[in-house]
Amino acid sequence: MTVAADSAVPAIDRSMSPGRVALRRALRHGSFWVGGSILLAITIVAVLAPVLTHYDPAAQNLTQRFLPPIWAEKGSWDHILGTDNLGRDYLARLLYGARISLVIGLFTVLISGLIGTTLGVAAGYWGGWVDLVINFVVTIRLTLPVVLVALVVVALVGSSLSLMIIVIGLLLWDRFAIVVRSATQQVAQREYIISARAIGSSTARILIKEVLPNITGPLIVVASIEFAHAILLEAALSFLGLGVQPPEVSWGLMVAEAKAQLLFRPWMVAIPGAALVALIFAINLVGDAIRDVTTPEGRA
Amino acid sequence: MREISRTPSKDMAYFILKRLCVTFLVIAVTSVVAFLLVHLSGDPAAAMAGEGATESDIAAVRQLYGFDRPLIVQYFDWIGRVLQGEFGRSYYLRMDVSDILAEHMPVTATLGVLALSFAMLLSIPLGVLAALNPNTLIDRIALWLAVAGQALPSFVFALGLMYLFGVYFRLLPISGGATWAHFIMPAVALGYYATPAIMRLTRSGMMDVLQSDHVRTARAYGLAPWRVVIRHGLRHAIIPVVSLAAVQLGFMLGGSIVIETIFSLKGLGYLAWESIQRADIEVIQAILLVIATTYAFLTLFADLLNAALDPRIRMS
Amino acid sequence: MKVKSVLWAASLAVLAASPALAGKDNDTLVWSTSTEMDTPDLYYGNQREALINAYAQCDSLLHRDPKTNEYLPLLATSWKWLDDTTLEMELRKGVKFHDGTDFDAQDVADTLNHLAAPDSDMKIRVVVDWIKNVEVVDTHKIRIHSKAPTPAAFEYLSGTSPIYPSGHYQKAPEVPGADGKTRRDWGAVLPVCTGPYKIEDYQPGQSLTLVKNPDYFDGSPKGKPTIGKIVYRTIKDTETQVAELVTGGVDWIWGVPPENADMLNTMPNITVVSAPTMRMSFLALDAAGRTGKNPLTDVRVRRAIAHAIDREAIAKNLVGEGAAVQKSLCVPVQFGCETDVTQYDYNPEKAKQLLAEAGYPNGFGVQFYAYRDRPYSEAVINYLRAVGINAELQFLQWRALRPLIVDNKTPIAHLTFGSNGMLDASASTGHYFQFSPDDYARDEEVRGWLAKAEGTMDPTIRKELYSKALKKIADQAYYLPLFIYGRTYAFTSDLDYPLTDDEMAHFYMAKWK
Repeated sequence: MTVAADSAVPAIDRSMSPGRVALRRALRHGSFWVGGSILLAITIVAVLAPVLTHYDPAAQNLTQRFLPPIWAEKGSWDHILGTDNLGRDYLARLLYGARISLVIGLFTVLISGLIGTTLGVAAGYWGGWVDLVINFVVTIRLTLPVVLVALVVVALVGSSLSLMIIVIGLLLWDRFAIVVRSATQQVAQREYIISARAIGSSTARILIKEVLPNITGPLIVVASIEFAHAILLEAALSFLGLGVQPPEVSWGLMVAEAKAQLLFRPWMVAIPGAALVALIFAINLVGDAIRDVTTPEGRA
Repeated sequence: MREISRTPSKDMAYFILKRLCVTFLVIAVTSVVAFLLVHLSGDPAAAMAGEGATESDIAAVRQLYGFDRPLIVQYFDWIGRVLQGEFGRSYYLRMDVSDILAEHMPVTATLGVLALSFAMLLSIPLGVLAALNPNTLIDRIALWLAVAGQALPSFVFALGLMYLFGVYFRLLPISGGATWAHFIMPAVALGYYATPAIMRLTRSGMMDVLQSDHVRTARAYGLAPWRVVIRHGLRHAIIPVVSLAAVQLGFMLGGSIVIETIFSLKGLGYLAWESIQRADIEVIQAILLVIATTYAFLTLFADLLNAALDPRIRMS
Repeated sequence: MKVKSVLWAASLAVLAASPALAGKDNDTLVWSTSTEMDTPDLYYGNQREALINAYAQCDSLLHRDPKTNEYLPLLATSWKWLDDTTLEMELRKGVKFHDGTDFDAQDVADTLNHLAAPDSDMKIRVVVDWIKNVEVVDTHKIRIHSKAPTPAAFEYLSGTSPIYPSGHYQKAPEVPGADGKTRRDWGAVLPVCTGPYKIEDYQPGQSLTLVKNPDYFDGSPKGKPTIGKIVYRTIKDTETQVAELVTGGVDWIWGVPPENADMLNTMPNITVVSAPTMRMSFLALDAAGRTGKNPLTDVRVRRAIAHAIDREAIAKNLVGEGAAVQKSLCVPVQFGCETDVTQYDYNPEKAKQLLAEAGYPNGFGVQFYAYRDRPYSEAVINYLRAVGINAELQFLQWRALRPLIVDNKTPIAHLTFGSNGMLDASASTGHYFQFSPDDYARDEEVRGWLAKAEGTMDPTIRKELYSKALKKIADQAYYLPLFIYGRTYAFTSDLDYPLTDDEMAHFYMAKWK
């Protein structure tokens, strides 16, 4: 009765639908609450940005550059978090930046998740040649360093937000593919699946009803990892000068722009930096919680 | 299952052969992708000629380096030379690419190894600790410590370290790679990013082992917990970690750009970024090829290691 | 094949001796920038770092005094034009190269003739393209024959044309070229010169070490060198440069952003100063319609754009100390630079009015290309947005942008030009208004004036022609001059640094306090 399973793959409790089991356990899990509430808070702030501030995050005022935040001696309530190098209100940029950071994380995960899951399911379900080819593609993708490829592409085609999301999405699907593949293999080896295929049940049905629900656990875990990965990659690209373009603003861009102020005006890095840390932390907590509840005995 | 003539060593040999073929195929395809990426992106002649150059200056450069030939011709020209050990010449630094690589690779290799060592020194004990106390506060804290490293953009972390220990406390040197001390901060900054993955894997591996009959028996016999952990647990749990570490080393080769740039370590990542900016085609191609080859062989090593331990993998 | 060298390099790289110690106590000036030098040979590498190094290490025929802009005798002691295309020069006696050989007329002829040859591969051909050949008259007298009257000849012969010994370029290695052919890599030869400093060590992409030349000849306008060693290191990240400066690892950096300059200056061991430069920042507008039908072909739209931008605010607040609003498409210190041209004051209302007149009451969308100093471009774009022009920033690297410019794809491009340090209005006007691929104005009349100005030696006629050309350019708002860059220099307070307006570092004139 021991499940000699790959450590990332859930064991299956057949008495209740997997979703219900997971949900019940999640609700009892501390990390889920903490992470979840931070995420919720950030999302609310992002959505309500225009309500929370009357400033346009891209509105510049060259005579009001580098105003300090409210707690410094020259700070004022006019600009609670001060202004940046073009005189733009920092709080506004922080609030609106939440949107782009969330959007980047979400959409890159959607794209890479779609690609990776499709490839992973195909490889795990059909095996054989399909598996071989997909493994090959995954290996190719892994041998090309992500940052370098992103650099080459973005440096030359310029970088609009959608282009960047597509590029990052096209680069981060590998872990999805790997994890989903092994999870699918687990499911595909079960007797009733084998017999279902043998009697000619429609593939689509099997995939949708049996395979997909059982791989959502590890899928969500990988999604949380890649979400953080995408946001940090965007920050690194911004550092190298190739990230989000104006008038859009993201936390990664704010941190990169504030880099020159690390010594002289550290709050300009600390504020968006802390926001990034909180977001990534929250995602990780939720991901961990989900992983813990979809594996037996709280194994990782 | 009628293969009476199958022996473990034959399985292994067949497996190695198959994997080697795949590895070489991967390297070949990667070389094509790298080549295309580099050549389809902007006009290399314009970059080489520089900002103030006129159209005729640029055309002269294009002719000189043969950029006006069809891509296929240029690709095979390059591959042919590579197979003869000739990586070409950096037009910018006016040195043979092999010499440049020889200068820059040790720096990245040193950085990678040190970073990985730091990561393992930090995450393995954390992982063991977490495994011994599952689902307790200690477990959570260990996990959070590991995750914290992945939550901040690397350049912020790196600069923060530099200003704290280099400028404020004047404890460590700030830039360059002249002595071992110069590698300390960069290694920490780079290694910290591998911590969560290694820590999680150690934790799960240890937990598996701790629940195995083998270990349970040892504990039932009253063997001290430490003994059990180290002699039986860690030994088994460490192997997938080692193979993951090999893979992480490969990632670091590509991901060290930011750290190398900030600490002015003249390694491969730094060289790659500089070369991309000035369209030093020969260098970029060589670097992508070297990184891909190193990574391919590192994963091969990892796979072989796993196969040596788990016979089922050999047969797949 | 190279395994041994890899291992060798590995041990050296990691266990090597510590880098040059900086500062007054070590009589070593360590300076640092973000760009790697590609070669110290000025003819084959046009990095500013190479220029700075060349001024310290090498001598040209003439020396342009950085304070007065006068041409002073350096390797040439006197000169006269025999006719419109022949320049006769007497050379200085008793000068030795750093390798011990004597300097004479043959060296000048060999150096310049090699470079003037059409297959010499040199980077900025305009520096030698005017030369037909150099004739040796006797051991210390030469005649330079130009292809056509060249009013800017003295510019070309001062500072940017170092003289090497005869046979210098014969040492160039043969390297693989395309299709299995080989070529000579002329730029790979380390320069041998006559200047106040000589090269001690060069690590490509990493560092360059100069030491004082104790036998530098008397009577040079460059004076005599005092600082013992000058070391150049590349440190890519600007924050790392600042960290090194503050802790004494490096003695001189530049490019400190103005908002940090004051704070850095308050540190007792650091001095921060600013000076103007010759680098201009401007917008290239598609007046000629090369990108197809677009709003910029209408002069009212171009004038609107000019009125929309607060150049004063950008120069003063953003670019900082040392920067100035640029009045005309040239730098005031250049010969022939007419600054009494149409000025467009900052007037967003007028801009909107002009746009409405031209048929764009609600503005329009346009692609805005830029490749450096992104905050400046962002600032400009924000001003355009404020009057309804929806400019979308395409921030690319130069090598990706250049083919687009050539290919008629850039309606608005935010460009900079350093004029290669030339003190002549022909530098910018020649580059941008003579129907080259960089010319988006394509004005026949302007081209005519410029061609005539470049073909005559008479300064009065030239001034007149440039004045006409620049006035029309401004009037038609073909290209919009924005500002002239200032530079901020930060260095150790132990250094007595000669501040100049030419974006150059004359380290050979510096001394310790």
